[in-house]
Amino acid sequence: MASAPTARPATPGFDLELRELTKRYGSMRAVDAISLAVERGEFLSILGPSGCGKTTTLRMVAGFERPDGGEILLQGVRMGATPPYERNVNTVFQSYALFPHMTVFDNVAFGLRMRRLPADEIGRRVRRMLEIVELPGYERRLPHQLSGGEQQRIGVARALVNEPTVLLLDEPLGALDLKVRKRMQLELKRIHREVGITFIYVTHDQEEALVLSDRVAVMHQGRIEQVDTTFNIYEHPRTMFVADFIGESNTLPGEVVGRDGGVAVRCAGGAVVVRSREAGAAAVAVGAAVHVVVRPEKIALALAGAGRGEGNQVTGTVREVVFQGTSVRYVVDLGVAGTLAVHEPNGQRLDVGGLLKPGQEVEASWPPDATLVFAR
Amino acid sequence: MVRRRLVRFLATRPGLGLALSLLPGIVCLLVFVAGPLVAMVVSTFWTSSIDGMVPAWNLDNHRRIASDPIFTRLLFKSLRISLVVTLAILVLGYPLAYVIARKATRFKALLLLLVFIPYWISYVIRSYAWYPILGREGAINYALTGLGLVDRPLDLFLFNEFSVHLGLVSVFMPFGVVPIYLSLERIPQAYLEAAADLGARPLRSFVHVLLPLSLPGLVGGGLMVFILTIGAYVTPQLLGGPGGIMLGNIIADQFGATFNWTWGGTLSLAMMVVTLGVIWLASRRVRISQIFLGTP
Repeated sequence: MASAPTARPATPGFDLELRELTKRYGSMRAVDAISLAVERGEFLSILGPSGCGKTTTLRMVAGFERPDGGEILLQGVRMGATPPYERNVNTVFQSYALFPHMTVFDNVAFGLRMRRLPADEIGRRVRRMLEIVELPGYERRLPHQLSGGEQQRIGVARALVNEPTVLLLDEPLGALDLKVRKRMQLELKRIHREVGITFIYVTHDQEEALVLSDRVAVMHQGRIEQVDTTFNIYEHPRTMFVADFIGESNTLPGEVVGRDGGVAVRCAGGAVVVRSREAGAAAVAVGAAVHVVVRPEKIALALAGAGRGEGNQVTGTVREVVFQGTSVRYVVDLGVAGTLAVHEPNGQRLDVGGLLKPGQEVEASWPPDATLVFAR
Repeated sequence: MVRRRLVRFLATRPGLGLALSLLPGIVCLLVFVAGPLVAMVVSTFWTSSIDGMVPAWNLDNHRRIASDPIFTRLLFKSLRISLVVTLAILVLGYPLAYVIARKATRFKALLLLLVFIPYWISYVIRSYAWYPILGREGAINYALTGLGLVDRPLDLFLFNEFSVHLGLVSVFMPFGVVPIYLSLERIPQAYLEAAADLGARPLRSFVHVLLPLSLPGLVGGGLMVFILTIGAYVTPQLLGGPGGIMLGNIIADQFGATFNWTWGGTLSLAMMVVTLGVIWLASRRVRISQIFLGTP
């Protein structure tokens, strides 16, 4: 493995800081006073649905858009109105934006030439970068002779060769088909590890964000809903939006009926009481209308009467059984309370032929730790 | 029944079907382009007489154009004028096209319209329009005498090579502006953002990215203007006077005034050869398909 091209001083600190960053389009706040600090060498994803402001945020960091308020700091230096060509950040574009009239070499060398580095150093660094993106020998090709995945590798090489403080990636894999995208995700992760540069990665694909990132910032309607590790974003979402946007979840409406270290919620038209000990649930008051959220893989199913009886329990009828190979997906009808989707690894009940059958009465149970409660 | 058999017959011979569907176009090209060209070339070997063109095969016309240097000089004078006009139009038209294509947002359509509005007026009138500006009693002389800078109107603005240049530039400007506009319009903003992102200041971004990417429009517009100007005869007729005469005037005279059609055809052929030479030179820089189809 090649060593990192940057000999970065190991001083702690933030490579990028956003403070109350705001962008308005007319009366719409595309980005609404967001604050964020990104540590050196971190891989941070900004995740959100289209129109949430994530690309606008990235474009402000790159210098393509002027903020209407707040600050951007690159390694502690205020960017203000600094134009893109004076910022030590580089961007990987969704459309690749490789210069069509230049060879791969000239594309990758562009930034170095703009800095008027000596030709032999440019040659060395370009070739090294092409090795890192695993396209050595591609120097003389033209962009239109490359596949989409290859073009984007060149896009990454062209940006990274300048050894920016922060590499900005704007949905770089959005135009690639699924298979190439999966491979490129692993590639990007490896490249990030190799070069040790801070990556800010904008995507609307939650799975991609989970696969790639150290931390994820979830954006919604111009605001950051939560910035956290991928584990916490999934396991401990702080808002209903995050819980709903990341992964799959079951949502049951209910009302808080008590507090005992966690909260107790009455759901299913009063038929069931579930408890939550999840940290985020502590904030809701008794009597509040809430949503109870449970991940499908946290739920265990047992035939009614088998009496596993741990944690939260509801009874229902199996409606759908979808065998997916490594896992089985059930839909359990809870009557007035709605339905539960359940993911179960294959091989759970080999004693009864491997699968439950539609129509069977079951008890669904899950631990209070895995029960999320959000105010409605 | 007959129709169905015909359809089946064509379906088994896809080449024939294609040939049939192209036939009207091919016939049009043959009749309106290839035919006249062949006729023109053939006519150069004939002789004009008071009975019209006589197919007396000879090389008199070719000998005449080769032996009398006046025609070569006039050809190269026309070539020079049209190249200067082309260059002037590209230099003046590029910024105009740039502003319309990449800077104007709200008034884009209006600006394009303004470029074109003069073209709703005959170019004869547009050429004449320079009289009240450049003429002895025109606006410039009026201003100069009014300001007391000269005591008598000057004749140096009209009826010379300068006024021909000016007239041709004004007459053919849109033919240069529009191709440049189209090629600039087509360049994705992301290329310029990428250039800036990689540290290119605006001027270097222009030199390294925008200009090379708009080259097809530049060459296309240039060729368009060049072809139109080298054959121009109305504007030099109206604005040129004795010094501004171009080969186009002589050719027009062979068909209109002296009825020496075979000689006119010979001069036209010489002009066409020079024009094709220039197109060939231009196509070595940018492929023709790139200019007209926009393919990379």
